Parts: sequence; structure tokens; C-alpha cells
Amino acid sequence: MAVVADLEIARRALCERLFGHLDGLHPALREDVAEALSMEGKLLHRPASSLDGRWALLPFYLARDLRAPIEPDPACDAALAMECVVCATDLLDDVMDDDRTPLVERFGAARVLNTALALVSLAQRMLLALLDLDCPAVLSTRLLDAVQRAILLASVGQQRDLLAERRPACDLNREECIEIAAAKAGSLLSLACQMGALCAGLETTRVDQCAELGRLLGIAAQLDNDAHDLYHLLRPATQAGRGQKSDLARAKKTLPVVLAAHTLRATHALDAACIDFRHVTTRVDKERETYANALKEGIFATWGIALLYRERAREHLDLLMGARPASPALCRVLGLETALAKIED
Amino acid sequence: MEEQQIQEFVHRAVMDQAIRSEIALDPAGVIGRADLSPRVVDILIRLAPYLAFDRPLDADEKWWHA
Repeated sequence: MAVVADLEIARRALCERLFGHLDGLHPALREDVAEALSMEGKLLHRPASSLDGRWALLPFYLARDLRAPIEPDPACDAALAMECVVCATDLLDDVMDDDRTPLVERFGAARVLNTALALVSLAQRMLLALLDLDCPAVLSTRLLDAVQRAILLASVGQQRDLLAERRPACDLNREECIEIAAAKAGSLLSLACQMGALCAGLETTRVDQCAELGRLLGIAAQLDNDAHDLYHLLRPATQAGRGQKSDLARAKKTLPVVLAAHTLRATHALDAACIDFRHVTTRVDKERETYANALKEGIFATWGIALLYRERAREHLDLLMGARPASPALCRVLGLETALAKIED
Repeated sequence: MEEQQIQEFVHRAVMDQAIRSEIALDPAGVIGRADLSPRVVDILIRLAPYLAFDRPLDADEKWWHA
């Protein structure tokens, strides 16, 4: 319970500061931006669950763990900038993937895209405003630089993902899938960790180590997401995600799909050009079983590899923190809690 | 490479009912006999219930609960 209370205190402080930034927006924009930041998982979501606002909590707690005490205002603003960047990229993903999310349904794609643009600008304004807090100019510059690099890298990942939709699954391999995962989710988690390290005033080598922590976690999270997305498709239709297209339906070449395709080609001698998972649930009998088993193998192998990257991240965090262990709150936000910490909670 | 170790073991388990039966009886023994890194052994032991019993993943199950 102590961790939950700690997270709630931090979340409230961040929310209060965020409202101050939102007050500076034009009224025509403020409602949409606030609404986007109130969606499930986001900082303003109500009723709040323990990990709402995770993207803001991560840099905040990492900064605090790496160097206590920290200047709270710059750390909060950097954390809020991170939340805005991720909120923006989530909105862009929703439109690119044609996901009929509650926000897309209510506002339409045009307003959602406009809101995403506003959130990216707001993030940058927050980091520029650090100069008004008498922070060293180099901090503001380095944070802005990190954000720009991460957004570009995430865009590269998204672009490669989109281009891969037109390629046969057997054309890709495990390494390429992991590169794409690293560019997509890895770049953003890497950014969150970098921002925490920069706010803690760490030197470049340590900032890079924090970036690597985020990269490993991002890969783990992306692969886990890809594995579970497919599994939902294999469940009965009534239990499938409502209003969302699965990766298979979008011909996404995620790791489980690529691994399954290679299995079908190698083990069942299927022609690579003919392997198509989009209609796996409507295939009949033996063919359905063959495809389903290949997908099952792809799902479990991907989940195992996701766990591998998670363990690498855990070991990296231990090296980063040195003699002082990461706080329970940071471990909770990173998703790297030990069993003991969970029991105590 | 550890990724390859995981892939190969999962492939063998999915393709071979005999291996799945062995895993069901003695997961640590079966996985421990394979020439795998300690980290991969730990991961595969966590996956064993799903590989051996064809236990379905819960819809809400995420890696951080594994």
C-alpha cells in the first residue's frame, strides 16, 4: 500500500502542475487536449489506477532515485513533457492503425490529429519554459534534443512497420522485428529514462546507460504487446477487442507473425508468397490447425523473448543503481517489481 | 544467442507431444538438460505450464505478471 500511496502523491503533484500548463492553452484546444490526457492510462484519467500517468511517473521517479533531492519543478515539467509526447504518439498510432478508440469516435480523426500536434508543441513549450525556472540552459537544450531524436526514431520505426505490411512475412527475420520494436516502443521508453537521468544531472555516460535501460524495456513491452494482440485474435470473437483491428487483420509483420511464417515454410513446406494469416480463423480443419499451431509457436517464442529483454533490463537497472536499490515505486512504474515488493505492497 | 535458444526450444515443444508430456512431468529436468543459459532456463520454466498443458493465456495476462 505504501507504493500506491507514494504513486498517488506524485500523480497529484504532476496533475496540479499539468493543469497550470493547460490553463495557458486556447479554450478551443484545451478541452480536446485535456480529454486526450484523461484517457485510460493517462495522467488525468479518473478514477485513477496506480499506473495511470506511467509515462510521467517514470522520468520523475528515475530522477529522484538517481539523485535525491532533485529540483521538483524541472523534474515535473520534464515528466509532463514526456506524458504529452506519448499521448501524442498514441493518438497518431490510433489514426494510422484506424483504431476506433473512444476519442476517435467522439472527435473524429481530424481533431485527434490536431490534438496530437498540440500535445507535441505543448511538450516542447514545457521544456523551453525551464529557462524561466532558472535552470541551466543546457538542461533545456539537452531535453529538447532528446525529445526530437526520440520522435524521429519512433517515426522511423513506424515507417518500417508500415512498409513491412507490404512485404511477405518470410521476408523479415527476428533481428529486423526487434529493430522495429526498438525504434517504436524502445525509443520512447529510452527517452523517458534519458529525461529522468538529465533531470538528475547525470553525465553523458550515465545518461546513455539510462537510455539503454529504456530501450531494453521498450523492446520487451512491444514484443509482449505483439504476442498478446495475436492471442486475442485466436480467442472467440465475443472476447476480441472491441472496435480495434488486430495486427493480423492489418497485415502487420510483428515477431510472432514472422516466426510463424518461417515455421510454416520450413516445417510444412508452404510457399512463402502464399502464407497469409489474415483469415486464419476462417480457414478449415487441417489448414486451420497448421496455421494456429504455427501462430501459437510464434506467440510463445515472442513472449519468451519479451521476458528475456525484461530480464536484461532488470540486470541493467541493478548495474545502474549500484549499491542503492531502485525504489519500490520506480520498480512498479518500470514493471520490474520483485515478488517480495509485491507481497509487501 | 539466447533469443535463438528460446525459439528452438519452443519450436520443439510445440511440434513434439512427447516433449510436452515430459515438460508436464518434470519441467525443470527437461529444460535443465538442454544446453541453455541460466536466464533462458528461468524463462522457459515460466513458459512451461503454457507449453506443456496447453494452458491458455489469460486475456489480461501481461509479462509483468509472469
